[in-house]
Amino acid sequence: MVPEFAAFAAISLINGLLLLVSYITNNTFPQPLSEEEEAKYLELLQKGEENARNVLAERNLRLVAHIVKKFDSTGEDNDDLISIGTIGLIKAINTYNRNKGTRLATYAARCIENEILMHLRAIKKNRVEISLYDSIGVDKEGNEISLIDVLGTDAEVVTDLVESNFEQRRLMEKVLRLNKREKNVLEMRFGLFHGIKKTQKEIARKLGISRSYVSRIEKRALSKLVKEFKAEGC
Amino acid sequence: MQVRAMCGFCGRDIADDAGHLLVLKQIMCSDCERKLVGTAVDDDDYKIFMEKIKKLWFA
Repeated sequence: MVPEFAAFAAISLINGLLLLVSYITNNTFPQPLSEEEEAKYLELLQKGEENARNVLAERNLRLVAHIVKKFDSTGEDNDDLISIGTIGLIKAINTYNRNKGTRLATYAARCIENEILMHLRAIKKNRVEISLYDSIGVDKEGNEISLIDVLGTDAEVVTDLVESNFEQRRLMEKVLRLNKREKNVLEMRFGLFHGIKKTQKEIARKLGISRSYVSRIEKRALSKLVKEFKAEGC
Repeated sequence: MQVRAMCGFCGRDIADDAGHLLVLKQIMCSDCERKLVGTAVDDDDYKIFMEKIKKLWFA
């Protein structure tokens, strides 16, 4: 495991270096601006010379390649990072304020780095999220299997739930056949319709009868229900 | 023959657009630039810009 990781890291580092060397030795991208040159082009930009912006962007492209090199160890695609770094540079050129006293190169470097970091954070966040339809391999016949194919609910949970619903419905049918007072007492005592259970004392207070009378009504209603269930062979 | 300048990102004719930016020798119109600056990394538009700029780098 460790030698594999070391080999991967070494290859990644070599790739990064090659990429950087190829960018820097390539004549396509001119040298970065010196402090004086940068000040000159910023001055021109302030005077409304639009081409100055293009020079500022072009002469900072090497900065992108240089900063991307710092992110070699992340294992992310260098091409993507170069592209994202360029977006960071465009944002920097767009939002740079000369009056803040910072050099454009300094501000751009921070913007490029931030852009890459935001991208890496977004990737990290998305890696945690997996879709139920993500492929997790193939079956014996070579068909693709997704996560949803192998995930299931415990069979007992489903049958228990179905049985419980069925029993509840049968019980409710029988409760509705009781007389009004018995129905009221059972409803309040067991929270049949609203889920709020009351004590015998609370029910007695609400109905204006004694607690022992509530108890008798409850017992009578329950025995009626038991009788009905027994008659059905349950 | 008159050469018409077009935005390399949206294809818009930029004859009247004075504020465009040259990105890797490709013109980006001010609309695209504004859009790019206001786009976050997890937007779909961002990925489109990213791919286009990648092509410019490695073309």
